[in-house]
Amino acid sequence: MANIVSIHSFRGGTGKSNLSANVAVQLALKGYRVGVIDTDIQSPGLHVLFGMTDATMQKSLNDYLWGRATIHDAAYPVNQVVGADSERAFLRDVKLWLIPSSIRTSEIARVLREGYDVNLLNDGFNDLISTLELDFLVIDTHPGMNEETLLSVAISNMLIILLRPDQQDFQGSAVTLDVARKLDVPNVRLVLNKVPTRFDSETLKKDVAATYNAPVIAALMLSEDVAAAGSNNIFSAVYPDHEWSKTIRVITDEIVTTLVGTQGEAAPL
Amino acid sequence: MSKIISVHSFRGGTGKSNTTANVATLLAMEGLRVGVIDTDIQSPGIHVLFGLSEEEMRYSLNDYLWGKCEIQETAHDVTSHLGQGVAGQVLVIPKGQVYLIPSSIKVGEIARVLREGYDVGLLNDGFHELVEKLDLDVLMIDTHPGLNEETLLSISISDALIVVMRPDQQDYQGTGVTVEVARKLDVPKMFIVVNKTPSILDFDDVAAKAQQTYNCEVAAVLPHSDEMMTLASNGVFVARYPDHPITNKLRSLARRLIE
Repeated sequence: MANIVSIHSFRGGTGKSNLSANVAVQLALKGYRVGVIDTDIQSPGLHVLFGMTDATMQKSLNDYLWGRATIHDAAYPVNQVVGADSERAFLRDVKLWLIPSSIRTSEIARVLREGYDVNLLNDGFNDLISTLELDFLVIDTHPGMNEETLLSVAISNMLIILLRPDQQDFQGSAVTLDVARKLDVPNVRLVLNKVPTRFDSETLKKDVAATYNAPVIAALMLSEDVAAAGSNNIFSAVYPDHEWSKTIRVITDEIVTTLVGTQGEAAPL
Repeated sequence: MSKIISVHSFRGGTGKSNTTANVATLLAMEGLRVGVIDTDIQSPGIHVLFGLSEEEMRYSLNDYLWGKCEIQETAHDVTSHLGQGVAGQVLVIPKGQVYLIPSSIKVGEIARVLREGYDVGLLNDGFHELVEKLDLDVLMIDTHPGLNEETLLSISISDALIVVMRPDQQDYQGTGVTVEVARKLDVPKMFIVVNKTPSILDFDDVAAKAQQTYNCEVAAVLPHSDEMMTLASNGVFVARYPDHPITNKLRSLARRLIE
């Protein structure tokens, strides 16, 4: 049975899409069958990390939500998407599917004008999981509270709340946690991101865990290398020995340990 | 002179709220009466920068949208908050005024927007009433990232739009969407601000690339700043660091807006 992992933050720019893409790839590199879906319909970005553009995206989540396509038409096996791209050779043998949202202005505006049935999103998640025989479905969300987020959070086996050590994030994360508790989400975990390097990460993790009464599984340090890479690729796969990448693998291991129970290197087939 | 100025970005976390708060403060330092409204109802945050706590919020924008109060009752004079710094630090209190219209940070209030919605037309009425009742020189609108109804309205009625982006592939693609929408809505003036630029990049190249990509004036390229990170939204940067190079760049932007 597949596990659904939602990645959320109250404020934007905490690094949700980067974390979603990196965790999905690391899970896939362990041999798991993984789907990663962009429910940030208002401001999609996940596809960029996989090198997709409007030109290479025929169908998107939007097409499915408006009945113009099945969810499978919008699910791209990334090993085929990246094709001969030598910078993404690490994706050639993975069983990973990307479901992007449309970056076309007219498509985004249509969501505003016409809306769509949120239940379809739930059906789509389930369809993907059963047909693609997924071990994990990773959901990248839009910041703040909105219908897609509430649905994603409500059906998750694990919710990762991402926050920076910043007063706006501290206040906002309390709102997300409050909602997650009301929705009885199992396995709520906090991840700190963009932590200035002069901070002591262990002390910060302890303080934040105590404040929110929720486990903090990792602190990703602010890295000029990650910023300079500018969402061009999956950082943890390109630079596996970088400290930031090691922390991504700590998060991935925590997901596997919590939801699967073992830390096996190969797929549980 | 621009009356209504919106600050937007397609992706989140570019620094919209910080840019809004800083430009508003700089305009107040020039002696103007400035309103700042948080239309980021899904994930409000700018009240944190002005040091307005939940207890101090008498009424929020949400209360106005549900007919519980007049729009001017939601305005909080935060000018004196700008002078509240860490011990021993002398801060510049603006000659003008800054009024903040916050969105509610209460879970129940945010959920109510989702459940019941509200009349976006009321927001438009509220903007104009604020300018009139508070005798504002400038109203600055802080928005939620991405495209949504509040953002479309804010952009469409603005005299000037500031689009904030980072030099990041996700932002480059997304900013194209915002710029396209702004052009369709005939915004009179549009400026791009590139924020959080890593120091290893050539700032002139970054400006030239953005200018060329969007065919739009790049009003500032701001570096990633350790001081800004350390401040961690505990205050308004330009009030703490009035002579910092970033403050000087933001001051040029503020002056450009009211030309």
